[in-house]
Amino acid sequence: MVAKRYSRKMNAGLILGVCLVAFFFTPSAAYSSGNDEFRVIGYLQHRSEFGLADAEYNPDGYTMAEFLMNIEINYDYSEKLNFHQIVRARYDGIYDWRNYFEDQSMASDQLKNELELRELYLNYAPIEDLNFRIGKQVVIWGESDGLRLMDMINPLDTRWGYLSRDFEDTRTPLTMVRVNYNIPFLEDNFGGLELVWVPTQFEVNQYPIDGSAWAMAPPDFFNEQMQNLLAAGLLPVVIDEKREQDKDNGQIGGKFTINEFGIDLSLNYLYGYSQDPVIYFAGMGAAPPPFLASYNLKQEYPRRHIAGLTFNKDFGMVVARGEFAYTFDNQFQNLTKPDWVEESDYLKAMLGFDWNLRFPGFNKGRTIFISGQYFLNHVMDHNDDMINLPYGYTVKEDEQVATLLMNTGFMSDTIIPEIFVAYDVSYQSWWINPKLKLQHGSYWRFELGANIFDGDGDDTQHVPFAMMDKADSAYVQIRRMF
Amino acid sequence: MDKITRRDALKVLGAAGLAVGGVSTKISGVDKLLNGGGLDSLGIGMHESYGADLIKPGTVINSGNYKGFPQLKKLLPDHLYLRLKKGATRSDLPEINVVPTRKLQLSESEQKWKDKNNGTVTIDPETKRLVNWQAGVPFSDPKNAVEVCHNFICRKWDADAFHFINVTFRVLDRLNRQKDMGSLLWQKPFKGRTTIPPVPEYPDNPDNVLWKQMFAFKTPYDVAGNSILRIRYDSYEKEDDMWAYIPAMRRIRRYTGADVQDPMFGSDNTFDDFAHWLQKIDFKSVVPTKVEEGQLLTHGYPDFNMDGHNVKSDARVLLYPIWEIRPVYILTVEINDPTYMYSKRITWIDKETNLGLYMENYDQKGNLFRSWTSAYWWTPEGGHNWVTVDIEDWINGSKTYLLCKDADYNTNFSDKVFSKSSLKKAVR
Repeated sequence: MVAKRYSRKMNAGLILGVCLVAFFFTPSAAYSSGNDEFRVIGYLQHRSEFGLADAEYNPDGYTMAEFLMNIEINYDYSEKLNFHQIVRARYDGIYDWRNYFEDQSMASDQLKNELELRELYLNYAPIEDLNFRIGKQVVIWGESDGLRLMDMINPLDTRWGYLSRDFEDTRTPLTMVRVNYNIPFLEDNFGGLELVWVPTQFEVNQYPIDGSAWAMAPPDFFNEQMQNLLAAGLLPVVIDEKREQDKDNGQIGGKFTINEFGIDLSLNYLYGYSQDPVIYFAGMGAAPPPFLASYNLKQEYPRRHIAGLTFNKDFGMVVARGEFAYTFDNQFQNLTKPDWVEESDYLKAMLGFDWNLRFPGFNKGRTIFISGQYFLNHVMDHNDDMINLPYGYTVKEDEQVATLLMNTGFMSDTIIPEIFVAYDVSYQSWWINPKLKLQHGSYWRFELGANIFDGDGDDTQHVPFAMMDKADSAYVQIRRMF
Repeated sequence: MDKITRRDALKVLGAAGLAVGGVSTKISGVDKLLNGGGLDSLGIGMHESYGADLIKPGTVINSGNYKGFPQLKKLLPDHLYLRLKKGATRSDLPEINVVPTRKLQLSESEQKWKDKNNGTVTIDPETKRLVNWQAGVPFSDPKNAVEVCHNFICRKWDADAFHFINVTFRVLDRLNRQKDMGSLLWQKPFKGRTTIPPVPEYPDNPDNVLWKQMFAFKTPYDVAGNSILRIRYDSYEKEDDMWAYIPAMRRIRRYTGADVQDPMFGSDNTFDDFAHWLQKIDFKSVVPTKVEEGQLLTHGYPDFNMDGHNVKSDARVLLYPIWEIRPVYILTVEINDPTYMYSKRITWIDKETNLGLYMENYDQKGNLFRSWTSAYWWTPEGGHNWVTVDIEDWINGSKTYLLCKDADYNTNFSDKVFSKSSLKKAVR
């Protein structure tokens, strides 16, 4: 055992050495053919995270030693046809380096290594106003930053962290067809249609895994229910009914955009599925002794219709923006209901602003970017027994969250301090994400930051943000671009 | 000439004996100019002995001998003069080779419009807007600051359609660390067109668009794919529309009036400074107040071949090969908006070409904030475009060069480039 661990540490050290060498000997410039038809850009990155709070389900100290390589290839075959590809490789040395993580087999299996074809698609424009994008890709709708309203096409993968990661890295790309059409008679108003069709692929949100750096407290309510069932002599059986990857389980959506009276407007519609599970009671069944019966539960991802509207408008120095998403018959967990599920329409709204503020005498020539957002989630037919999954906290009729982002750049933007604060007004809990970005020349980027979660009240473990209190962390990131 | 690409210009140059190549070719070009024999063969006439009473052609000025030319103080703005003294600023001027002043003629179509406008275009005394103007330089012999300002605004500073294929932003921060960012630019005027049909204006232009511009970065990775669409309307009252695509968020964001004053990705160039200035002059809050006639020793029109010595990966100082004394208007524009980044712009405008050669921008306290020194390529037929811009931040101590390598000039392209959907696919 000791020899095996020693061998793993050797491997980790070897990979570390190779990565460091690669950092310094990577060609400085992106590859580009003479006429720019073929371009390769990307980066090598190391990220170390340090847990600041100790918990049963994740440790403090050194919690992530990740090396990431991201390569993006673009090829313009003609003016009408081009190809795009992103490949990402990841190795997290912490699973070889630290004994605690070596023993987290599930986390290790999923998070230690990754080689993923992130995106692979072609753009084809048979005529100027029409463009097809076909292949594995990410589509982001809406005007909100950080929290998702209409941005529901691609699921999230937050196993390596959420907002502390690049926005595009937390999306799970899907194989789909996206069609964009500029409406000729609305050309002056940027009138356009976008159609998205995910024919078969079914993917769901992925959350931090027990034993990993970002593991969260398990949802107590569920564990308690299971314990109660067992105490009553019933065997709980949970079946995860992930949808088949076939044409009946795809997604389809459309977006109409226009600029009218100086306002950018979009109308959105998506027929998809919930990317988080809902657990149904599926009846009793036979069970082996000593249990009296099985208590069957089905974990499903119900179909849903979402309609949305977004807008933005500039008022001189300030841009106002908003987003509304209305989910019809959203399914909430309610253990007091016979099938554990209750339906209600669900409205999510955001109003926000972006403001470039100039302070006389401060940081000459550079504004401070301030972006504020106010989110409201309203359950149209609320019930006090509704529970949010997978986190397990009680759903309130109105849930409100406010966010604030501020940043500016010093010394030709080689030093960029930034702070993001999210405050859940309903649960008095918050998340603070300060970071300092540093640039050196054209190719080196550094980032130092922290993610701090906390909240007021007695049961902070099962409310938004505060539930990740034990995942408080600091990190350092080095990126070498090419 | 309807279509002149930069490559065409280089061919012309090559045929005239100034071959395309690297530094050595550039020096040979300078030699010809110093000997006074190269320009006539290019079809570009000289202004005989213009400025020779101040500094004779063939003179070489450097940090060691510049004090022996007291007339330089008259020919160079204070801060440009200061850069002659070695170590006085962080970017010393390289050696100045003075050549005879050249005659730079406008293109046939621009000249035609200028002649047509002569005596017919007037200024509305209340709004200061042009009356009877359709295209081209409105005033052949401007009499005041407002007329000089209109000439500067209406100058066909680019083309009726142009596409910069490679503009490098070379940023040198206060610690002299270099960051290069590669970019693309498309621009097209929708009014004031002189050459490519439709002339002088798009017939179907309900929003009264003056011009549209699309800008996109292609390197390095962290800025690649960022693209910005800007639409300028002819109305003084209507603000520009601007949108930016941010690939890291995969989202189009609206830009505000403050975004146009922020440095572009850490450079010393702002959207409102681009092309000397893109700030809208409304003659109310932004007002030309003063104009003087003068002379400027400038490198504004180097030989065409900048590729060899400009964009070297380690170049921290541009080697301007040719300096000449040009007749200029020195125009002061005051900005009566205490929230704006500048209180005043002073621009040295070439009398012959109406292009900005040098500009000083002052902050709200009256201190010099940023200076712009521009260089253009110019063909015998009057085709012209940017070659380099040298931007100095005198307060923060940073510096940016804009190095323009390839441009398609008056090569028409689709208007669809200027759409929000194009933002997403401008580069990636």
